[in-house]
Amino acid sequence: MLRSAVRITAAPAKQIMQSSSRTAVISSVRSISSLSRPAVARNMRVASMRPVVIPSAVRGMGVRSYADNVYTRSKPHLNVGTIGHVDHGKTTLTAAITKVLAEAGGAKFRDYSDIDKAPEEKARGITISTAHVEYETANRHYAHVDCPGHADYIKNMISGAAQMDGAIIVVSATDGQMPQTREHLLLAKQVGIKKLVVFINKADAIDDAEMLELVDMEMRELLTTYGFDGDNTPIVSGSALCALEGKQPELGLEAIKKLMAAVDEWIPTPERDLDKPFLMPVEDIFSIAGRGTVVTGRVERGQITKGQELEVIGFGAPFKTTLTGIEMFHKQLEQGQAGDNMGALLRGVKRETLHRGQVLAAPGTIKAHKKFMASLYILTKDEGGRHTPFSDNYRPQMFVRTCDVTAILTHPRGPNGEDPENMMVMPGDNITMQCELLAEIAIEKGMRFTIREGGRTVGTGLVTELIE
Amino acid sequence: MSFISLSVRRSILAPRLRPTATLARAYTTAKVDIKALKKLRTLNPVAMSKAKEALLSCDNDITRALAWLEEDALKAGAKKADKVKDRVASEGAVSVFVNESLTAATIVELGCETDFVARNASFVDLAAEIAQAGMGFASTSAEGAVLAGIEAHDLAAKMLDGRTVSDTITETIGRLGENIVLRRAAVVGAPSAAESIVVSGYVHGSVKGSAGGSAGKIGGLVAVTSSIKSDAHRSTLSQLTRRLAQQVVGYGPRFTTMEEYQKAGEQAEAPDAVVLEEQQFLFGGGSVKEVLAKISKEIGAPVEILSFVRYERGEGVEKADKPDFAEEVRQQLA
Ligand SMILES: Nc1nc2c(ncn2[C@@H]2O[C@H](COP(=O)(O)OP(=O)(O)O)[C@@H](O)[C@H]2O)c(=O)[nH]1
Ligand SMILES: [Mg+2]
Repeated sequence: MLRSAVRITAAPAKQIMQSSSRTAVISSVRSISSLSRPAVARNMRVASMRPVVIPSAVRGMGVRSYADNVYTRSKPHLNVGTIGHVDHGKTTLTAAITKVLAEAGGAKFRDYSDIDKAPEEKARGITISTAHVEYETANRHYAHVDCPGHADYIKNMISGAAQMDGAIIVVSATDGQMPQTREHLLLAKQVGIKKLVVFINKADAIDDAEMLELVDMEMRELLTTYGFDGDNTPIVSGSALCALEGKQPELGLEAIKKLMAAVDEWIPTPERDLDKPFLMPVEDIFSIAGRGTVVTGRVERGQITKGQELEVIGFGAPFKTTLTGIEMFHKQLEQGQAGDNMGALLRGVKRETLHRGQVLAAPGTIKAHKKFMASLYILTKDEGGRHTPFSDNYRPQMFVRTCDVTAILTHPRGPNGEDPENMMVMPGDNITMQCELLAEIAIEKGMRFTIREGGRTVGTGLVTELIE
Repeated sequence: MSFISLSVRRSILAPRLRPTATLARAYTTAKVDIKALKKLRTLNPVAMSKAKEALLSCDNDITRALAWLEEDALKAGAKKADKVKDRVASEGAVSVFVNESLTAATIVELGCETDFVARNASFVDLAAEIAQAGMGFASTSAEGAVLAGIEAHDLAAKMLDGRTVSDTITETIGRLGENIVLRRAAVVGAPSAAESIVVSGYVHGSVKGSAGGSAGKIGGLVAVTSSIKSDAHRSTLSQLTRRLAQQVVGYGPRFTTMEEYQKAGEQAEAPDAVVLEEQQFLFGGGSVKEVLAKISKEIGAPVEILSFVRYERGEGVEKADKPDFAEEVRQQLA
């Protein structure tokens, strides 16, 4: 009976291929439809992090598009990016890292840019540039993005299209830090990057080692000014060009190895979804005669074993229950984990107390909230968004996980004391606003959502601060 | 519509030559004093190699090195400008300047390559200063108060703090290392027309500089005309104009009145989308036309929109058809 109630849409996780070790993969995708699939976008580290090493023929076969990143890679995964002045060598450095790592592993460099231009991904949605390069060290697997602009990156970050767990700041030794290096650090700060590694490039072009020390010293001071750990941030100097051209190994090859060892060590591995506390959004609810109430959904994170206690959160007071059964793929199972579509049999819960949009979570790990601050990106007309601005007290529908609820968006007083009444938000804006929901739902910092109006997506957001 | 790239103009400027004696010394001084170098960079954030060159040419004397850099700035900037002149400057900032009596205003667009630079205080201040310099082109009589474009070329010759706008931009290119282009500018109003004109400006997404200027991604100016009898009228109209400027920025109208719309021939968009007077007013009260009528009644004299203008940063600039990042990396590896 339970069997028929559970909708199974995905193939077992185990069938996902692992990326072959020590290969570098380059991929590029120009647009995603992440906004129509917020739950997927939320789990993607980089929007185009579909299984890039899987031939496209296999990709269409119901492989869960995000699961492979989350827990079938043999090595921990990290997203990094290069930030720096035009010309200081970001592209050259990325090429050099790719080359050095590909050679270190003895594997041939492989170019996946062609197979990755998947047409189905060019469906509706916001236009973003998330072209990225992949490589691996002995310890970790990396996806590397470029960061040529502030607004573009913020937009990608809010929508979940691109994400940096850490960044490499590239500074040319001949120029040293530039006035706009401040803006680079401010961006890193704004998007929540806590740890940076600095690469002082073009060391081959200067004749005075003391100058390198000065660039180093200045960078440490600036890092400290902007709230980073200036004293302990690894700063490596060398030459990306030498590394790429196989010249002066002490400035080239060795420096790149040192840089990546620093990245491996200094930038922490983000917690895997699998290791986080259990959470499953409620998609559907069924009453099964003689057994009880079953909730179906896809596990967003963590794992759960039959018999464990769970909390139901959202739309009213939270309450506890016990998970008495798990069903997946028409089988009774003992355990469920991130990425699984499962049916959860709950003990002693009336069907009427459950609603789509609630979550089942490990007790005490997430709370329901009504009011929070969020960074928003408002889609342009070309992206299918609004044609006109909106002002204070805008009331769109907010979609998060399986839930939709009306939100009231208001401005905090402007940075220069502007009256919120006079403020407007235009399509294309990145903006911070206060959101108040008409119903309490499970919300936490870092959670992504979309906002819609009249059936179309008009914006995407990221929770930055909980208020009530 | 003449978009003149200042960097092109600049390359024809004769480089100022340093005395050869200083040059020769550059190669005889043995070593740069690192402490002096650090200090010099805090006083004038030029490129490390340039700061070093200055000190080596001045026996590590900071005061002299500062003067040397001052002297060298234009030449160094021109050299950099020449190098970067073909790079697309599709980022940048729009800045507006409104005079104190709200009778005249200017708008400028200053282009650069990345929005990191566009957000940098020195760039923002430069855009704001250039906007202010544009006031020199304001009409001297109420009759000439309608919107008028300013040739970027003419504005570039204006003086800013002892040097031309053009030279100031050149020096900024030297410091920020990006192509910077004065793309367009316009002026509206007449400073002396206090009895008949009120102007205002609005910039969306504006960032503040450190010298009090601000600039952002979209800007607009609006001038209204009426018979202004009192300070109360003026204050009513100044609020209206400010809101109209915001309306212009937010809704991007292309015509002021229905008459203009009809004259322009077949239009793809409906009047309430592209005619300012027909649009719904952002701040309520019906259409802009209805709001104007209400305020006309209130102050006892007709209020008309004289001119408006809207600049969006990067508008019309053809973006470079660059390969994406992954492709760029791939090419480097080939
Ligand atoms: N001398 C020297 N030149 C370099 C080095 N790395 C990059 N370059 C050069 O600097 C220029 C800009 O490099 P690029 O990687 O395109 O910089 P990006 O704009 O930051 O991506 C190119 O001409 C590179 O060849 C280096 O280590 N030494
Ligand atoms: Mg590059």
